[in-house]
Amino acid sequence: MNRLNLRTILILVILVTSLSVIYQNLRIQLILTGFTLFLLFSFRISKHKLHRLGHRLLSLFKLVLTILILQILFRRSGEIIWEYSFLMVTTEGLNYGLIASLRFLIIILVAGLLFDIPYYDYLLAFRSWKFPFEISFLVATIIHFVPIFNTQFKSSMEALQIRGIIMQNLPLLKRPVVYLNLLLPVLARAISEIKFRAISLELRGFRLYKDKTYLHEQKLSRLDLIIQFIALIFFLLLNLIKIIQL
Amino acid sequence: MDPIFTFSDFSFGYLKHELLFHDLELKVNSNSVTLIQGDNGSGKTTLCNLMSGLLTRHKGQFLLENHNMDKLSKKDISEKVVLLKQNILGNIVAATPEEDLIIWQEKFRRKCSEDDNEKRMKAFQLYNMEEFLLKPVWELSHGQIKRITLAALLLNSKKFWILDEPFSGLDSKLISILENTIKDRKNKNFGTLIVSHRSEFHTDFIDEIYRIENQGILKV
Ligand SMILES: Nc1ncnc2c1ncn2[C@@H]1O[C@H](COP(=O)(O)OP(=O)(O)OP(=O)(O)O)[C@@H](O)[C@H]1O
Ligand SMILES: [Mg+2]
Repeated sequence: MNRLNLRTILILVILVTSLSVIYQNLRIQLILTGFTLFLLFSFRISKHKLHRLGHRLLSLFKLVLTILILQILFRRSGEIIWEYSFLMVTTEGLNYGLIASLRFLIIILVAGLLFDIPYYDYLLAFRSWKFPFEISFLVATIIHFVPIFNTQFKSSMEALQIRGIIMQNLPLLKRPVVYLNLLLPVLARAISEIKFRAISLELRGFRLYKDKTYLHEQKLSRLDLIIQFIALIFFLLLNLIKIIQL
Repeated sequence: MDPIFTFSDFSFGYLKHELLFHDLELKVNSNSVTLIQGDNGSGKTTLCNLMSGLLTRHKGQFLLENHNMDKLSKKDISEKVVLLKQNILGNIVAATPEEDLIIWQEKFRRKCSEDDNEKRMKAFQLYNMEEFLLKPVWELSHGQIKRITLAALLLNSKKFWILDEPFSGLDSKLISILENTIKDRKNKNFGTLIVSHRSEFHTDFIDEIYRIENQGILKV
C-alpha cells in the first residue's frame, strides 16, 4: 500500500475533501473520516511520523472542540434536547456541530498526509498530469514552504523561552504584539531566502529549455489505476444521487 | 564548589526505544568553566537543550541547584541559565540587532531605563557593532549575527552561560574577546559551559573537560 502513486493519493484526497464539503450528512462525514484515517495509516508506516501526527491532532483538538461547541449552541432549529436559560442544544445543532468538526478533522488529516510527501514526488506527479513546470514548481514550493515556516516559528518561540518570555504568562492583550514581532522577521527571512533560491535557479538555467528531463519516473501500477477508476465512479455516483435528491 | 547541574542515572531519547543518553553521571560546577566535547551527532546540542529547559521528559535524576528540573517552570530556568544555540539565527527574534537586544531587556513587560540603554550600548561597543545596529538581520553576515548573540549574553552576566559551539565562525579577534569575557566571569565566580566538537582548544581557562561517548560522559 505504501507504494501507492502520489497521483492516486492526490485524486483520493481531492475527492474526499470535495465530498466532505458537498455533503451535509453526518453518516457520510463519518465514512469520509474513516476513509482518510485508513489512507493515513496505510500510507505512512513509520512510528515517528504517527507520533508527530498524534501530537498535531492533540494541539488542534481544542480548536475542533470550540467549533463543535459554537455550532451546537448557536443553531436554534430542530428538536430541543437540553435547555438552560439562553443556552439551548438542539438535534440540528448537534448534527451540524459534529459535521463541521469532522470536516475540519478531515482537512487536518489530509494536510498532515500531504505535507510529509517529498517535494520531488509532487513535481513528478504534476508533470504526469501535463501541468506546466512553472506552475507545478510554484505549488510544490508552497507545499514545502509551510513546514519550513513552522520550524522557524518554533525556533523563535524557543528563543523567547530562553529570554524568560513565556507566552502563557503574558497579559492576553500583549500576546498579539509578541506574535507580530515574531512573524515579521520570520517572514522576511523566508522571503530573502527565496530570493537566493531564485538566483540559484537562474544559475542552473531554469526555463532555458522547454522540456525538462527527470531522473526518476512515477509509473502507475495496476492497483493505482483500479483505485483511481473506482474512486472517480464512486464520486460521480454520489454526486448524481445528490442531484437527483434535489 | 556547588554544582549547578547534577545528572545521575540520567537517560534521554527522542524516540522511546532509542536512547541517546543512558545512565549518564555528571556534575557541572556553577563557578568554573567546563568544556564538553563530542563527535557530530553525539548529543551535545541535545544536552544543552535539556539543560536550558527546551527539552523535557528525561528519566532519572536531573537537578538544577538542588531543584528537580521537572518541577521548575520555564521562567525559573530562564532566570538561572542562558543558552546560546548552535543554530545561530535561532537565537534571534527581532528584525534588527538593536531591536533584538531591546526585547532581551524589556521582555514585552516594561520600558528600557537609561541604565538599560547604557548597558546595551556597552555590549554593542565591545563587539564593534555600531555600524550595523539598525540593519535587518537577514542582510547580515554569519559572524555579524553571532556578534548580536554574544552581545545579548553580556546582558545576562549574572546567569550561568551554556554556549553551544560558541567559537565556530568567529575570527581570531572575536574569539579572544569572548575568551576574555569568559575568564572575567570566572574571576567573578560566574561559570560557563562550552560545547564543542573540536578537541584542539586554548585550554588555559578551562577547568574541566568531558567527552560524550557511548551514551554517557567521561572526564578527560
Ligand atoms: N528533534 C529531534 N528529533 C529526533 N532526533 C533528533 C532530534 N534532534 C536531534 N536528533 C538526533 O539526536 C542525535 C544528537 O543530535 P545533536 O544535535 O544533539 O548532536 P550534536 O552532538 O549537537 O551534533 P553536532 O556536532 O553536529 O552539532 C542525532 O543523531 C540527531 O539525529
Ligand atoms: Mg550540535
